[in-house]
Amino acid sequence: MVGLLVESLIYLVVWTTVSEARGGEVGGFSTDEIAGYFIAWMFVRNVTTGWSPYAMEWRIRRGDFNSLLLRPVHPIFADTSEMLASKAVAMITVVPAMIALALVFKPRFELVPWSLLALIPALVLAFVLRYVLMYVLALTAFWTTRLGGLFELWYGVEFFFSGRVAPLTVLPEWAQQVANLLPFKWMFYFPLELLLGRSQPDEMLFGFAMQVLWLTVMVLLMRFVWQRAARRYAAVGG
Amino acid sequence: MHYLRLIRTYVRLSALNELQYRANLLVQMFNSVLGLGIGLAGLALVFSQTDSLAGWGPLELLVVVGVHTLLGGVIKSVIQPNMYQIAEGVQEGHLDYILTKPEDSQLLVSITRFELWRLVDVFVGLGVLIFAVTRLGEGIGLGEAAAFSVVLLCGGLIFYSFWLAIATTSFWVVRTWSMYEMFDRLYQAGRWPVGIYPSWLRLGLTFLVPVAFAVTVPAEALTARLTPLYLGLALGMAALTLVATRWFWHVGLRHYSGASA
Repeated sequence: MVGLLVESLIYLVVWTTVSEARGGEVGGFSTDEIAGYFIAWMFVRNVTTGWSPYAMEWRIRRGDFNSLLLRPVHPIFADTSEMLASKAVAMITVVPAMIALALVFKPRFELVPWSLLALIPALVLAFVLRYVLMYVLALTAFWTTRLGGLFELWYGVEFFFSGRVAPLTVLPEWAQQVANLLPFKWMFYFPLELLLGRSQPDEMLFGFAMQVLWLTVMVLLMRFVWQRAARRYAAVGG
Repeated sequence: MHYLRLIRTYVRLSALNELQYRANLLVQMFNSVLGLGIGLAGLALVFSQTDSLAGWGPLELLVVVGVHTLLGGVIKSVIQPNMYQIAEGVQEGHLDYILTKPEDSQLLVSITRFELWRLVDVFVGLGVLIFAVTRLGEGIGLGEAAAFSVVLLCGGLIFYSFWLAIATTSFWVVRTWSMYEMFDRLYQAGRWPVGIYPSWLRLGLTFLVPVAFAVTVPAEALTARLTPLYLGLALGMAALTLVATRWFWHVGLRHYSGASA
């Protein structure tokens, strides 16, 4: 939670400074819209992220996974309910933090009703997509026992192409094209734009299509990897 | 002299332990280079939009990144592992074994564990610094280099004192983990000169989490911005925090009753 606040605050300050140096605009955002971007950013991040593949790595190394595998249901259900609960608790602190930031930085929000309505399914899809993706990534620990490098690399790519470090419109043209193809934009920037009311209807439809497409790919991949992983699983410890 | 020998022995033990896991060096190198790459890409992104950030040019911000990486390496290899050990030692009870040894307890808890491979960041940071400083135009003289070394050392000592103070609270609060994490996260704010932050935050980053003294002031020394006032402040702050932390550690010890017995 503190990490969330600090990260958002750092980039809020950096980009408002840049925007002021440019005379009040960067990447199509005015200075007060940048502030709005990074405040809404906190909300979308808390909803779409949460479960870390390191938890899985830890379980595999410690051997805690053995008992979970013996249960008759897929471990993803237990993980999901645990995470939803912690997310709800986190919201209790995130919302006041957002209000505090809003009081200090005086952002500008434009609330567009149809866009906010579309936000709900977009958030759900973004959350599920990121979750499944992280799960697939975590499952590689069945082979390597350690995630380290792979996850850090993944995190670095996500940092830029999801819109976490800056609005994607700030990125050079080629990088924006790449961001459209990668899954990261659809897990973060797309719902964030809906919340800020910056999407056009056709962009929204394209966004949903990309979310569904990536989700289908990832679910298929997860089933494939899971089957192999469970067979490959060698218990560590007892 | 005696203390130096003690430190050397502990460092050697840690090093021998870490040398068993040489593959970790490769993992660490990969992570260090990746971390630097992410930092540089962030800078490139900012400077694709503007020429200067609150009066700092690209090369000057590179100096900030260099100092941040260098000091981050020191924190992760020397300071943090030991401070984690303290909290864990209180919880599990093995702190008692350290306390029964006939040496200064603060020294012993500060040198029990070093993570050798994390030092990679120190070299990466140094490399970035040398690259940036040699391209900065006028370069730096002996005086600036000396001032930089002094304020960097002060920054390191201030950081150590703050960490030890947090670790000391584990005598009362058993779960100090969240405080560690908060401190760690706030250190990330030091990647940018503290001058860009609004004044209330700048105050916090100077006195609550001394990122300003640890990163920005040394970077100022290399970019000809350091005023004698800040040099003095850094020295004073280092002396003050060292003394205060030592006092606090002893207060903590007196409250400690041991968990292993």
